[in-house]
Amino acid sequence: MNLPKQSKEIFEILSRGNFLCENSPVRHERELYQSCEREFGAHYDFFEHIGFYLIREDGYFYFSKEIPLSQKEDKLQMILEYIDLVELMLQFSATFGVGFRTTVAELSDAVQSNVVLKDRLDRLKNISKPQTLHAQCAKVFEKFKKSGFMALEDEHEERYIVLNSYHYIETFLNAIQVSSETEGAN
Amino acid sequence: MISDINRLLSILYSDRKLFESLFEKRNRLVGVHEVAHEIGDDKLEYLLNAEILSHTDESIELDERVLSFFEEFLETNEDVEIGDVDELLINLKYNIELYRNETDNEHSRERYLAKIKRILKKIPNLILKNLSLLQLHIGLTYKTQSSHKNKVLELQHYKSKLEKLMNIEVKVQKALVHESHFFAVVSSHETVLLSLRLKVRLRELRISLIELQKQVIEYINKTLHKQHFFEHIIKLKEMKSALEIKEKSNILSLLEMETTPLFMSKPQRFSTFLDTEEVYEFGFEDMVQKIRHMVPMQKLSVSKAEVLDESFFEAEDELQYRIDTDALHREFLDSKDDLFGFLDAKEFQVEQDLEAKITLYCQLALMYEAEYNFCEERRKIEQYEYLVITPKETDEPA
Repeated sequence: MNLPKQSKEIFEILSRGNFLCENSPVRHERELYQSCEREFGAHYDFFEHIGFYLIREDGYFYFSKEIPLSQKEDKLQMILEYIDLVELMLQFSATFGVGFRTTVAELSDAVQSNVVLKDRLDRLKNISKPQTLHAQCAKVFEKFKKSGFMALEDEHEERYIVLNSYHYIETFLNAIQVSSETEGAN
Repeated sequence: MISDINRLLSILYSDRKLFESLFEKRNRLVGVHEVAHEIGDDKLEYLLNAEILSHTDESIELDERVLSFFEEFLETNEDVEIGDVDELLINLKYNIELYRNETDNEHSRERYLAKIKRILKKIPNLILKNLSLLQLHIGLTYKTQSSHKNKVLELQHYKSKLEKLMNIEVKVQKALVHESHFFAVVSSHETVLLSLRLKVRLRELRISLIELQKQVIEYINKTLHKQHFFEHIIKLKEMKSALEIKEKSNILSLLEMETTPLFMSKPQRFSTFLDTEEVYEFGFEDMVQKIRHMVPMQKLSVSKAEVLDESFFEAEDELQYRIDTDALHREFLDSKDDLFGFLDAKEFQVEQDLEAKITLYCQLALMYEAEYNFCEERRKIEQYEYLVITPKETDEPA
């Protein structure tokens, strides 16, 4: 099989559960994204042989896996957690979405002057409560970063950018349909 | 009412501070007493009568004509005034008509032509001003308006204004075509040039207008999408809080249908408290001691070495000649000779060289010092000099 030369590096990134995004601030990752884009077929075939499914979406790639029944609850919890996180960010800024840039300081300033935001932040599960508000806000960004939906663009300013991969969670949450019975009640 | 420009200018000049302040505060209410305090009641009365200021309820503001003159001249009006262009167009047509009808009076014709020239200059400037204002408002609204509903409302408002502006632009184009005969016969070179410039300018403006229209539609769509998404998320959050989301939505079936990125499938793990400090506080050690016997201890696995070769077990004697210094000492006591003479004369089973004999001499002298008599006499053997040592004389009979 004629393998594209970046297969190894692409595998190393994707197999760790990361995304390859077109708008990544890391130049090398953008190059790898372009390689996936150019030689999608070859990459797909190769990774499929070793049990990974390369998924191509609008502006990002990732490895997919069929999860056993036992892990379904984990996935559900993660999705539920993101409902809270995404809602917090949308409360913070209505323009939150792919390409959105902000700093930890901006979030903590907004939280300081908005009790609704403060309440949302305090109620977030799985985020420990550090001593300072700034550290607490930083944890939110780290959460997004760890899942691969955000990237640190400027370390000094602590500025993050929302990556194309955020589409995944946005699409998922959008696809959740509320039964008509509930809608009628509202 | 003032009908004299000199008087108007002098009034504006003498109270310029007041007009400046009122112009700066044009978007908020300025109380009557505030102005009266500054210039006095009489002056206020005078300015109101002269229609330079106007009085509404409890507030004072610049007269609309003065205000729009200032705003227009200083280009500070942030409202988009599409109607102005329309008005200009009507004026253009009207003046062309007057120009056509006036065939005799050259002076009047020139006056109409001067007005036409002014209008031709004004039209593109006014369209451009409105276009740039719209662009600014649209961009600002999209980026800064935090409420989705108002954002969509404002964007739609600007979109309709933009469409009106586009209509006006088409109307101006049509008017130019319609009046092409006038421009063909008009003697003024400048007017013809202006109309041509206007055509070129309008073409440029049309491109920008179309671009802006595309942009505003995109902004509206994006905002609507975001608004829906935001409302959707809030609904999901409510359901989640009420613990209804699993029952009242399709989330469980989505979990199966949607592809799962690797980061979502956590590696298998088990939970343990061993790494937290709290467990040590409630007697973790005692607990371990209690249940220790219940847990089968893991046997140490010892790796076995290979079987030893038989040859290692074969006995192998090694003989070493050792001198029994005790026996030698006893023999010396009986010899009546001096120590070195005795050792030198002694016939050992294994031949001892001079060096070995000297070592033995020293060993015996040290070990049995108490039983020897160290004489002062020295003797020589080869290059060595030694002390004569004899057994101590004892009272007991030998």
